[in-house]
Amino acid sequence: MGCCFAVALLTYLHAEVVTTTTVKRTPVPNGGELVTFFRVSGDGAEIPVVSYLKDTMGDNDPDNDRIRQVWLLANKRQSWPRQILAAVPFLYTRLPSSAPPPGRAPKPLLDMGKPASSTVTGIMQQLLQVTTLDPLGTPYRAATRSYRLNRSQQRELRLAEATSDLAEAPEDDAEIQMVRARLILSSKLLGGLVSDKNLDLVHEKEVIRTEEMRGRNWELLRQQAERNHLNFEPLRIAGGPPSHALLSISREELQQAASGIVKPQFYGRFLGISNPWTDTGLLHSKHRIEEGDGRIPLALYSLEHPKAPFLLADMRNSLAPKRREITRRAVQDATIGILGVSRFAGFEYFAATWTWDFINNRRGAANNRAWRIRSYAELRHKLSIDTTLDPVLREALQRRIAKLSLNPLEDRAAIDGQIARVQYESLLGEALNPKGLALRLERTRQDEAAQFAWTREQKMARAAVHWLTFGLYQPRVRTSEPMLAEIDRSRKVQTYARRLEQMMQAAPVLASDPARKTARDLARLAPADPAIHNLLQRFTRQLNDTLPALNETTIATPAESENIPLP
Amino acid sequence: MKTFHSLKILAALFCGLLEQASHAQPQAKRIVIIKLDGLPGWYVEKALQTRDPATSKSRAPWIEHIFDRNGVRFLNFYTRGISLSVPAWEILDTGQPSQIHGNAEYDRYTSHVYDYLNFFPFYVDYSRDKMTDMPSVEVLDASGIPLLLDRFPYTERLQSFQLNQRAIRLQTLPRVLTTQLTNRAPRQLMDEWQAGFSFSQGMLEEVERELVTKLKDPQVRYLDYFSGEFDHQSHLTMDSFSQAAVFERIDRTIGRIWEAITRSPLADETVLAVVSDHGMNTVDGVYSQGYSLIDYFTSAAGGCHHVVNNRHVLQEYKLIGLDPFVYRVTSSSNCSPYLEGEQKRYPTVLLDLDGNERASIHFRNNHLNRLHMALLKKKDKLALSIIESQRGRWTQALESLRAEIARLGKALADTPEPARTKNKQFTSDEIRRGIHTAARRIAAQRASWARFKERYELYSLSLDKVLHLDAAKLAARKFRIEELIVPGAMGELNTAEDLQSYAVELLDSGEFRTIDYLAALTSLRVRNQVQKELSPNPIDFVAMRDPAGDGSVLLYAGPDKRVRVKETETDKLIRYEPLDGWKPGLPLRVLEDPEFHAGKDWLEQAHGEEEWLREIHQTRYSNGVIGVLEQFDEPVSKQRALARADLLVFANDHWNFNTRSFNPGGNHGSFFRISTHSTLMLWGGAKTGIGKGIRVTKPYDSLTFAPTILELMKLPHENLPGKVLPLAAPRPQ
Repeated sequence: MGCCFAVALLTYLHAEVVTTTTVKRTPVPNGGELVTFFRVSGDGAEIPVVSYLKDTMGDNDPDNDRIRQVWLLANKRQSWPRQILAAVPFLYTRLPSSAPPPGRAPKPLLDMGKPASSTVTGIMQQLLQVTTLDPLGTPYRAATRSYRLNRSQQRELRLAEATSDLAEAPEDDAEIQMVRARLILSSKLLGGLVSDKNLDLVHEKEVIRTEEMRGRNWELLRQQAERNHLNFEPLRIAGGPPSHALLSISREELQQAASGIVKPQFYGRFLGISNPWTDTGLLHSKHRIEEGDGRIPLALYSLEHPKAPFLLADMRNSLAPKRREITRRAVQDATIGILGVSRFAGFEYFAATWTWDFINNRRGAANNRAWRIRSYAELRHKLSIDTTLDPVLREALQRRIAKLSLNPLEDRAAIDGQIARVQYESLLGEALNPKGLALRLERTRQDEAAQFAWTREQKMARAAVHWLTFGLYQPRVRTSEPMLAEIDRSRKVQTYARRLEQMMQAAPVLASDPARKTARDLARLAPADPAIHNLLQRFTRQLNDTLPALNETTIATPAESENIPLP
Repeated sequence: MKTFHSLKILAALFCGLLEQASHAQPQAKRIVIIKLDGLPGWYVEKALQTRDPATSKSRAPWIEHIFDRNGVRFLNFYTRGISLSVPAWEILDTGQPSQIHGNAEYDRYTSHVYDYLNFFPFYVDYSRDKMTDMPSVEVLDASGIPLLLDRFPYTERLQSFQLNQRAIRLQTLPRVLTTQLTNRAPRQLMDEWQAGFSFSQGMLEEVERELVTKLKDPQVRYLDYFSGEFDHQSHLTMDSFSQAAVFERIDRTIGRIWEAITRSPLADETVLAVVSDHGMNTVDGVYSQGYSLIDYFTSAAGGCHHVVNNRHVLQEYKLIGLDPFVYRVTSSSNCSPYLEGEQKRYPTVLLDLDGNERASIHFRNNHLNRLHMALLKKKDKLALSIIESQRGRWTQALESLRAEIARLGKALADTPEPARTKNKQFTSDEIRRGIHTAARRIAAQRASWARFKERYELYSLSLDKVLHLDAAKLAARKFRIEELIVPGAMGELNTAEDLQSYAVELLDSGEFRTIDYLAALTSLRVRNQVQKELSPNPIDFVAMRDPAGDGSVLLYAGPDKRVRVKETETDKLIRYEPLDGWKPGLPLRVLEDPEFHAGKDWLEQAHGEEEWLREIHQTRYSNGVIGVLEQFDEPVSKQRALARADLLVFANDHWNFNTRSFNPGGNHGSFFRISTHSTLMLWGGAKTGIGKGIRVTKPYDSLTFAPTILELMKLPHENLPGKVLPLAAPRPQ
């Protein structure tokens, strides 16, 4: 077994891993389409990841298209027994799970047309917890908080998996990147308030932040490995950039250390593992490598984690990461759930925890729960779709990563693909059903129509009723042909205005530019809109500034042979 | 009478023509310089060549419009010397050869740290009326080298926040926050909060706003805008997406500033220059790896030194790393054979690692080390023999130091203390005219002279005592060790011989354990080689002043790979001489470079600087041959000479020496073309005479920038050594 492990590891580390992504579009009656993003694993299997409903207004003009509901296909509805068990405090284990029955459509995660609604719901839930449930006493507080935490962790896990997969989509697929940005924001309480025009900024910052983390952790781990005479192996699990790294020890050097020939010092900081040089048991490890280059794997880290690499699998002590995670969670459950001490309850407690977290954070501790879940979810998911990794190594890693699961609502990684496929099939059924997604499209248009059918006061009054009835009342207007035409116009105005703004910022506006056409279209569609009027004025001013300079452009003749004129 | 009348008409006509000619002569009245730290010339080229299929525009549409079509671009513009921010900006800002050779320097006698990059102490001391300029500007002032902006009166210039900062507008800093809050719609604020606020971005926006406002004032003739965004991002990430995101922002900023210029009252007489200090060794898919010279020097293999540098190692992972005033950090060795526990008083290696493809190393003088060890072990005979062997050199050093002390004393006596130095002692009109900064500058200079004079006196006393030691005094032991060996002092520069037999321990046998640092450093290897693009050897070669004493520089890549680069005193011709015969793998690898076409015969001859630049600028090490001479050029003063390091260490491709944090994205500091290839582009209004659509392929270096700007403004530049760049469209024959 050891031999297979070694050969597989070496083969894997040096193999060019290729995984791709693909997108499928299914027409939906009433002028829409269901777009599904698939991850293609090494063996060619397509795993549906995210679906979204796109309202095309039944035409081929992309300028009036809008993305509405988004589904995470691996995120299934939970059964009642599991939900009840999720409310039991200190129950830190995963429960048996199975794929959902076919035919029942999954619940959408968010509506891209109304992203703020998830934020409002989140705030309302939080208020309900603090003002109503917490004062009811410890059993209610502990149970509801435990349930809500498990639910949100399960949601974060699925979001992390989806955003990780969507990161593999082509950079120029603006639609997918928009969905990804919304998914990233949906894990933040106030993320739903971010406007569509700034989704590019969110996406950009996310990509840059991830790249920064990866590079920094690569270096930190490599230098720590070097300092401790260990071997550093970056891994590209399931393709993509190297998101994980494995530390290993040379068997030969370990034997020398055991016999006292060399005495390597060990600086364990950032590594989270015990000194391997004094661990004689390693020589008898089942993961030892008899042949090849004689490396014994020690630990696997996520490189996509803030500040320092995050230890996900300790090959010698598989329970160590889990123990750390349970301790963190138990402290949280005990203080907030049982004792009812919240960070915001008193200044002293807030100051003490803030100081503690700050110091630990400075020292590189993995304090951020959301990032820990993300690292865990990404590895769990990548291992489940990776086919190039040697089965023995993958199984060993999967066993260890499975032990990190503390959430009763979490499904086994092995059935994630099955869940996604079943739910995708159900969604496809909904797409073909005139009362399924087609009806959703109709309702979203009714929501949209309400924006220009009512006065400001009417809108505010209806919105208040909507929130007071916890969403039971939906402010909608019946759509008609003129209303649809107004929706079409309104969408186009939004699209053109954003496009023109971007064009003016990004590049000089030139006479031959499509910008002029966009400006003309805008002027035609919204002649009385003051905001559009301002935008067009700025555009005209910029056009006047750049045109004379352009007209003066001359072709230079070279002064010396070294000076090359424009062709 | 008639003839006289005709002559008068002719003279009047002639004068009129002359006047007309002088009016027609192009002259710029205003210069706007956009300084982009670390923006490589090759990156701009790549961006201009990459077309967006949707818009058919390049990825740098504003640069393309302003400079490529309507201005002049220099396709082969290089930093002179090492590709490091402080020295590189110094050359651009002064037009003079560099006097500063690192981002941090140390005085060998006093171990004073010249920390050129830390803004925070400067801002604080400026607000407390204790400093007026950044340390680099103070050094330039002390060396008598003016900045380009010094050519313009205080009221006619606007300088943004940068390395060579001459005074600051403190009111800008709080405005960054208030403007960010007040100039944005609440919705936009919320969006940016959720995406992640950036203070530096806010700062740049505020600086841009100030610049655009000042453009409306025709009195203001010099304006600059400094951005370190690209440099910062490229140090952190090597992926094309992150860098492109920053670059696009820069391109838009250039566009906005240019638009503001075209709307300003002096639009026709304004020159817009975009310049960068160096390139960047960043390649998508390749991480730059760090090698810790601190770990090496504190280890047994490295000589068990106590090491000083200017930043905390892994500062982002320490509470003490939050100290914004840090300028000196000691890393102790746990194996020091004779200085155990003495790390604060007796560090023996000083490092400047910032850059990070090169590091400069000060070793304590080998003979001072030996003397220290002999005194501690009471080996009196040995101590006396060491003093005797160095008597000539140390006596000469003492005389030179006494002359410097006398010079500082005279300067102090000749320069009276200004009567007013606090801002509140000046009227608002005086502050507007910059009178307060001039007074404070004198006070700061006096304080510096006094500080150095005092500390040099301490060192000269100890050196004098050492030179007067005899057997009797030694036997009587009536001295404390620190009276002879000044704590912190590095002593004289080491020779190549010293560094090849550098004493690190005095054995009981009376012999010294020595290390050949030239060989040891160039043969360092790492165990984890996980990127095929990287060599297992972090160090490429080392450079030092040649012991020949003729101003030449020794480049050392191994015992049989040594090269001497020297410039002849009289005709200024540069020679590249291999000491062990021509072979591949010599430092700078000119001979085997596929871009070097002149051949071995050419290489064996001495050539002028321009010829060298023309022949080698496309090679892997670009203008390295010129750069090493620039780096080891003759200093203008004793104080500058004392800031010289023993050894300059150059990293192999994609290696770096950064230890305060990680720079996996990319680095600079070396002579690699990718790191030295910088950006220069100019655009001029209708009356400036700057041509349109000109791409200059002839190579130039950064020494040409300042004289070119001065020539455009018709300001004198005869004392500057650089050439004026060709900017006008040539006339047809």
